[in-house]
Parts: sequence; C-alpha cells; structure tokens
Amino acid sequence: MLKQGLIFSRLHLAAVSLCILFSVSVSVADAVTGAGVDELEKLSIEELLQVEVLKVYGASRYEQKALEAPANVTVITADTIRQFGYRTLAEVLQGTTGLYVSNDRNYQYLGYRGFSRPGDYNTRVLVMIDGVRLNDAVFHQAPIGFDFPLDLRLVERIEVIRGPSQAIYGNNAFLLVVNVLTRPIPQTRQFEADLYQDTRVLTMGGISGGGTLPNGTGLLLSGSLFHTPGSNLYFPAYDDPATNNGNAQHADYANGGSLFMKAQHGRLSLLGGYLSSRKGIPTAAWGSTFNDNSTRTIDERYFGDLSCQLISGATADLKLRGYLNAYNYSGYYAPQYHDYSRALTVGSELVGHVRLPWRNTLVAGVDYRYGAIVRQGDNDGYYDNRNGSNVGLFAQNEFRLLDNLLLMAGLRYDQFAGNLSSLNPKAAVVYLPYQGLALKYLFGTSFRSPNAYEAQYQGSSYRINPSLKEETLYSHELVLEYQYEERLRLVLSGFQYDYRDMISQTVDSNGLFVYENSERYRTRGVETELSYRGRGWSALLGHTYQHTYGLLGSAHATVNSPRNLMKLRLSRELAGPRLVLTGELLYRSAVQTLDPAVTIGEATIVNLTLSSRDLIAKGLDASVSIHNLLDRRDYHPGAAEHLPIAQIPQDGLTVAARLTYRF
Amino acid sequence: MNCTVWSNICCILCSILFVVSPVVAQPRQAVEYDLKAVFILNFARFVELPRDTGNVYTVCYAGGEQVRTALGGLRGKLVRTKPVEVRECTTAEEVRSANLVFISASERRLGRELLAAVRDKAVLTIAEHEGFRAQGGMIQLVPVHNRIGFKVNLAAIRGAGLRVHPQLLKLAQEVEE
Repeated sequence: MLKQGLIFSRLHLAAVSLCILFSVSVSVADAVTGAGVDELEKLSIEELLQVEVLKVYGASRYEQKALEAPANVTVITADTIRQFGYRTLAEVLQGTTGLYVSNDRNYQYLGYRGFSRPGDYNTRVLVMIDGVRLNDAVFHQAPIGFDFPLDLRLVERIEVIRGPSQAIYGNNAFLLVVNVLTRPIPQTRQFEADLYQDTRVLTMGGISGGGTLPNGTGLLLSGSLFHTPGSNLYFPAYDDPATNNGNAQHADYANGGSLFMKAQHGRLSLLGGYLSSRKGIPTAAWGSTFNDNSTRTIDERYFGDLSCQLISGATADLKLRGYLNAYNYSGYYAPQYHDYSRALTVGSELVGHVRLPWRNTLVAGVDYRYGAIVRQGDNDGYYDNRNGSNVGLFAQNEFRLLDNLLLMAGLRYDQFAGNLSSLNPKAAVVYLPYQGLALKYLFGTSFRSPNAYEAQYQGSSYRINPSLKEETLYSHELVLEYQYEERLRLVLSGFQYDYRDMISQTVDSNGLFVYENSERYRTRGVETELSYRGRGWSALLGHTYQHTYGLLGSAHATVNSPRNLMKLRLSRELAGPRLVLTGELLYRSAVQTLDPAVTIGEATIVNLTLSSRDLIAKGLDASVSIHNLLDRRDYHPGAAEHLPIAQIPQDGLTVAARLTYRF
Repeated sequence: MNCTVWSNICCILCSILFVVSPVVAQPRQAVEYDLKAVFILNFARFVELPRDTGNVYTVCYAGGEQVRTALGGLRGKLVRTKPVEVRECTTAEEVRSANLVFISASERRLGRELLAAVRDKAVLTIAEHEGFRAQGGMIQLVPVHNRIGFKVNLAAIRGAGLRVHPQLLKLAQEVEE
C-alpha cells in the first residue's frame, strides 16, 4: 500500500510538473475562442471554412440542430478523439455519459444505463460506419474494440443517439445507435502516416492518402496494422501448480489489420472496408485448457456500400444505396475444439426526406436485407446453414406546430425470416420555450428478434430452444436541454426502460447453455451532462444514476449494472489548438458478477494526454498519453463461459506515444 | 474510495485547468447563422459595387428569428468605410434600395420574388437553397459536411456590373462562369 502510494505520488508529481513545464513555454495565440459574430469576424475566409457547425444527422436521418433533434444525442468530434488519445471505439464510448464497456479480454461489450449482461453480445446497439450497418447476421454483434473495422484517424465525428431508434433503423437499434461518420475526401492530395507505441508493447501504424483525380473523382484510401503480445495475467481461480500457478503467459495477444476506401464521383459514392483480427483468450473460456495460447478467435469483416444521391438539397433529398456486410468468425479452444460462423448480408435501401407544406418534414424509406449466408458449425460435426430476408418500411414526420413546438411521430414495420414481424412506433414532443432551451419527451419501443446464434446454435455444450421469440423494450424519457452560444450545454434527463421477455443465456439441468425469454426488468434513472467551452479550455461532466430491478423473479438484473457512472473530461489549450492537455476521469460504482459471492468494487480510471498539432513541424502531430494514471486495479464481470473466473483483470498504468505526419 | 485518492485526482485535474497560463484559442465551432452572417460580411467586403452611393451599406434579409439575431450582429461593422445597416425585407421595393440581400432556406418562395426584383441591379444576392443560382442568384452558402462553404455564379455577378475579388473565387466550392 505504501509502495503504491509512493509510485502514485511520483506520478502525481510528474503530471503536475508536466503541466508547469508546458505552461512556461507557451505563447499566446492570436485568434480568439468562442464563436460569436464579433469573434468570427477576425478570421479570414480560409479559417471560416474550417469552423464547424454543430448538427446531428442520425436522430432523424437528415441534418438538424442537436437542440431540436427528437433524441438525446452526443457528438464526439475528431479533435476530441485525437486530443484524448482514444485508440478504439470502445474507449470513445467509455468516455461518453451513460455508457460503459466490459472487456473480457476477447471482445468488448457496451453497457448502457445499467444494462450489460455478461453473456450477451452487442446485439442491442446498432453500430454504423457512414450509415452501413456492422452488426452481423449470425451474432448481431456490433464491433467496438480492435474488431471495429475502421482506424479512428479516419473518423470525422461519432454520434451517439440514446434510446431506441428502431422506428427508423430497424433491428438492433434497441438501446442506442452509434453512427460513425468518416472524414470527407480531401480536395487536394494529402497523405498521412501514423505510428503508435505503448508500454504494453501495443504497436499500431497506418497510412492513408486521398485527393481528387483529374476526372473529378475523390478518393480516400487507408491501411492500418496493430500488434500486441498482451499482458501476462494472474487468475487466482487457477492458482495451482498444475495450471502454472494461475499465470496465463502470452495468452492475451492481439494482432490484425484493416483497410478502408472511399470514393466519390458526382452523386455516386462508394465505400468499403476490410478487417482481420486475431485475439488470444487468456481466461480458459468454454472449458479450454488454461495457459494454452492456441486458444484464440479470428475475426474477419468486410463491408461495402454504393450509394447514389438521387436528389439533394436543403428541402428534399433522396438516396438509393446497395450494401453488403460480412463477418467470419473462427474460434480455436485448446486442446482441440474449433467452431466457426460465416455471415453475409446484402441489402438495398431507399431513404429520403422532404419538407412539406404546413411546416412538416417527412422522412421515409424502405430497407431490404437478404442474409445470403448464415452458417455455423464446429469440428464435432455440427453444421447449420440457412438464409433469410428482412424487409423494413418506415416513415417519420416532424410537424412544427408553432415556431417553438415540434411534434414527431414515426412508425416502422419489419418482416423477418421465420414469419416474425414487428411494428415499432416512436413519438417525441420538443418544446423550445426560450432561445437555447428545449424540453423533450421521447417515447419509443424496440423489438429484437433472436439472432441465429441464440436461436439455432447447437454446438458443443449448447441446446436450442425452439420456442425462443423476440424481446421488447418500452422507453420513456424526459429531457431538458439548455444551450448557450455553443459554450454551455446542460442536459438533464429522466428515463424509464421496461425490458420484456429478454433473451437470456441460462444453464439447464444437464449443464447445457440454452437461451430463453426468461427475464423482465425495469430501469429508472437520471442522467446529467454539463459541458462548457471557455477561452482555451473546455470541460464536460456527465453523471448517470440508475436502478435496475428484475420483475417476476428475474435474477440477473443487478449483474454488471453500476448504480453510478461518472465521466469528467477536461481539455486545456497550452499554445492555442496546437498544444492541448486533456484529462479524463471515469468512475463506475461497484458491480455484481455472475458469481453471487464476487462483487467488483468501484473503479476510478484517470487518463491524461498531451497532444500537439503542427507545433514541432508543419503537418506533424505528436502525443503522449498516460492511461490509468493512478494504476488502479480494475476488473470487469465475465460471462458464464469464463467461470470459475468471474472477474476479468484490466490494464494498469500504460504510457503511450503517437506520431502522425500529414503531407 | 478513500479521500486521499480523491484529493489527488482533483489536484491533477485542477492542475490541468489552472496551473497552466491563460491562453486564447481559435474558434472551431459556431452557431450556424453566426457563421453564415460572418460569411455574408466577408462577401460584402470582397464584392465591389459599381457606384458606391449612400452613407451606409444596407443588408436586407428574409428569414426567421435565428437569421435576425445573427445578422443583427453585423450592425455597425464596416464595409469599405461604410457602416452596415441591417433590415428585414418583405417587398420588392425594400430590396431594390439595398446593397446586399440574404434569403434564408425557409423563405425560398418569397426569395424568388425578391430575386426577380433585383435582377441585373447592382445588389449582391446570397441564399442557401438549391436552385438559387439557376434562378440568377449570385452566391449560395452550402453545407460541406459539418462546415460551411459557398458556390459562386460569376456570370450573374458580372451581369449586374459587380466586381469580385479573385481570392473569393479561389475559395469557392464551385464557380459558374
């Protein structure tokens, strides 16, 4: 304890001296912050062209002001990602109010307002890149860790749309939607090389290039690689000489790479991506041999989208798109078990919005998806291959009854394979009593059909449940949002979520995993987010208090359901935007694991990043990050496949450096 | 959590905010119409009128509350030594006496009439909606992802006898000759 304290105080000193060191050498930049007319006037037109307008797209599928959007939306910009040293989408989301991530050292799972049950995949979150769905056809899993197929350097902004958005996006938009928008194709030729290294020997690198060809086609290409041998981890549950005294050595490795391309010619745009990643599993999951580093999963994803903007304008637009999304999984579990899945979905979508008379804005679309390959199997002889289609029709109308009163109603009908269908309404009232103040009431329902894995998987130690049906969510949310000149934003939200017939993994009397519609929960909570942008600094404080309880004897309501979540993000410009110091504090209260005897205590993780842009040399970005500055020992609850390991250790203090050169 | 850790955390985070010396920074985000208002001011400065008559530079607009507030901020600013005067316009008469007219997206129907009223007159016309340049409008503000850009109808500007600074054309998304 004493030693820990000593290390901590050294770090503490180091951090403070770092601040002081940089504060001495800074010069006062010549421009001004804030963005009133007087301040903007001092900028040249070139600089004005670089100023962002804060709007959101994903809430209603057309660009609208965040304040008026019929949703509770958070936008994370490329600058925030760079300045806070985020390496994965999971880290970006972890820093977002109301969200938390559980890492079982194989995949990462997103929790939202107290809901993240170990054993569930990311099936209740829809993750998209430029509108292309990434949730696959077998597991419906949304990738957020190293399996996310896009280098974060290519992100322009990320929109997190809280609450169900099923009425526009269909299946998987059950709890929230994460819409990742890639950066625009540069007008003139631009290249970028990036290198990252940290003390856990994680190495990442990437190159990208883009520009406009002589025929007017814009093109952006990128490739990235990552590699880490992983940490050596200690698991008390295996502390026995026969299992290397509980030490899993070289079993936590990860490596892989991704490619991304985006092209635009006139109204046509094409994008595509590919990812291959390999992850060692150090937890002896699924009864595999402990400390055998041949236990691993291999993920391969590719996606593509060809879209044509048939009509474009402020008053109407219409977009036709065709897309494909594929996910191949292979799992190898020592000594000799192997299972796999293959999924390929092709789809087409026609979506548009139009401003109608009497101040109505209508968004409508039709979405057709065909699961061309939905295959699962293992080396014990299990094999299942099927296909199926899903048609969705949706319409949403926003009616501006008064200058300051908006009414929104939407409805989506989905027809799934296996004669499942769903009708999901959504409604919102947005009232703007004063300039900058909005009161919103949001209502939505969500429906999630069981994925192929839950409904059909019959591999080793699994039993299928032929009567498995869909699960539903009813949500009510009241939001008060206040915004003052883009400087101050306050969001207060009260919510109630009713989860019905939740598809839950249970273990039957023969010890086999089986999915049942067995759980019913209610979550009530309050969320607050306050952000302020001052001269040269900004701060964000987010807090979520929630209480989830099981109805009708549901058992797992409190597992991995922290009552309190807090996020504090601070950012300070030391030499204008060229040198920025950021600090992030993530607090999570205690959580219950699947083992009733094991509760994980509260955790506070502090991360610091110092990043420079164009400071050392023009085009050169350099940053240094300290992740988990306090070196707190944290654990995340694991699913049943990891038992007897109920809590999975997380990374301690990590120092990272990153260099990016743009030319 | 014990209070020593909390105090240490607070200390580190506060040091980020307060140990460092105060500096000023460049704005990177703005309210949409504040930003558009400043673009409009720049257009006024970069497009010269043939006869600089009158003591003030009159900006006339058709738009809602947000436009009124944002353009109101231009009042008193200088365009080639003349202070800017801002007023709302609803009739063709009012527009003809202006130096610059801005039509917001919500007023495109009225905009068509206003535009017709100043056709070939030395009035700089700016709007946001699609089809504006095809109707003979001069500068259209367009969304470029999360930012704002502009497209120029050079033929219309020249047709009205106005002179535009080449630098403005260089920065435009599109220039129609």
